[in-house]
Amino acid sequence: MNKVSKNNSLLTAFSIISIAITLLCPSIIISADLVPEIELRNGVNAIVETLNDPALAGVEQKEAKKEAVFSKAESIFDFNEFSKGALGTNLQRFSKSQQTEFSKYFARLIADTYLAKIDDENFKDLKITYLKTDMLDSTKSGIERADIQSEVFHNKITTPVHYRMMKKKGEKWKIYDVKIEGVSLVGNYREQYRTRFNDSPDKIIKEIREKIEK
Amino acid sequence: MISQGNSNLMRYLKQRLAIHWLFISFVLITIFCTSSFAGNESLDDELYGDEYVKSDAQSVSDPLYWFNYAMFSFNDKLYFWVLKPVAQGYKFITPTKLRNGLKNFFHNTLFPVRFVNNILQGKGEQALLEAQSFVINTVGGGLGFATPSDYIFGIKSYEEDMGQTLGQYSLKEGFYLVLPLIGPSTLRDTVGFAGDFFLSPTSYIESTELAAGVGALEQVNGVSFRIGDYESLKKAALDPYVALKDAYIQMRRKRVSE
Repeated sequence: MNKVSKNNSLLTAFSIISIAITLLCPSIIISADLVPEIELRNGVNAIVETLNDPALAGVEQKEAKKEAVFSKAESIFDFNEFSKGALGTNLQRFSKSQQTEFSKYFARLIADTYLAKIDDENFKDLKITYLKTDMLDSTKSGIERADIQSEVFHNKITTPVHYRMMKKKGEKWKIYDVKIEGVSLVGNYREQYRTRFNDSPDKIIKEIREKIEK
Repeated sequence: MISQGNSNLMRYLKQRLAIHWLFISFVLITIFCTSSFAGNESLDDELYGDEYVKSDAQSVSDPLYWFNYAMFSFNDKLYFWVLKPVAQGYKFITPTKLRNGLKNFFHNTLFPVRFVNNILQGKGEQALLEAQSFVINTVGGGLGFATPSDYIFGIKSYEEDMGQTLGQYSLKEGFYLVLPLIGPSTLRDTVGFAGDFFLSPTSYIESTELAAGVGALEQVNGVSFRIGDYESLKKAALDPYVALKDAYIQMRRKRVSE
């Protein structure tokens, strides 16, 4: 092999690699932005599909449906982070086990009230449009964050719904807050718990447990 | 129906104006005296540690708590005992098309409120679009019962009111206020509400009975679309009073920021 052809093959190899890089890189950058939205779409679609599942229709299936919806919700919502955010500064007073217990009931409260509300005749023609994804700064501990804006159209009313999503290392993107018409769910509970610094964690847990059992 | 040059009306408006000014001076005093009641909540967990939840935690003060709580309870009873059953009955006997038409009609009559406040906030383009919608819907949509502006021309509506205008002028909320029949508000939004009153055509209906009837129809028709919303907020809340207050403040802050 002479020198020129060796140079030529090197050049070819180099150009192929650089073309490959230029072609791949933007798609990597774009897809990194798209991932949270795709995962959100899949998660929300799974919940809506379960709600509209004909196999789970009817009064006698009510409990089974609730469970199915809850398990779908658990795979996209990080209820542990929801409950931590809701407790705010009160969190410091909760032991690990108290925190877990609170989180369990809190997840139920949210699922029971908000998901039950979607399970209504008016929501059969639910139309969701995903408008925009903003990647936010990662936290100091390296949790990636994104803000996704969407609009829900039902019953001739358009409601803006924003999702806050996060991705811990090696995990999936999960929702850690929802803002409906500008009202943050976590923020709303945080405000309710803000003045509860005199109540013991057990009292707070008991209260929320009784609320969902009602 | 709409009177012009009526001396009784003029006297009434002057009285209203006096109340209005009283409110404005009240607001200014509040702004000077109470800078901020917000507690400095230190958030250790960094996920929520940005401006996002922090600003929501900066609550509006509630010096009239006992009055507000009484009004909250009153409105709650009013909803469950009167408004909800009436709205349910009304929804049952009234075709959805008619309810929708009425909703559109009342929305159309409030055009002056949106128009003036868009202008006051320097949103000329939005004001123009509102004006276009008003003309299109009044002429082509039978006094606004239909909304061709939306389904033919795709023009959005820009809900701006005086409370948002004052907010945009950097006026703080003042303090929380629950108004009978109307619900959550703040001092600033109450002043705004009084201002918007002058811009609402229904405020100029002469006969008290007719005005009350129109007001009741508007309210009941509006509620017929929202049955269940208040119930789920109450059901999900640990402290419905605080939950409603915070939801109102968060929602208004977002609207002002837009």
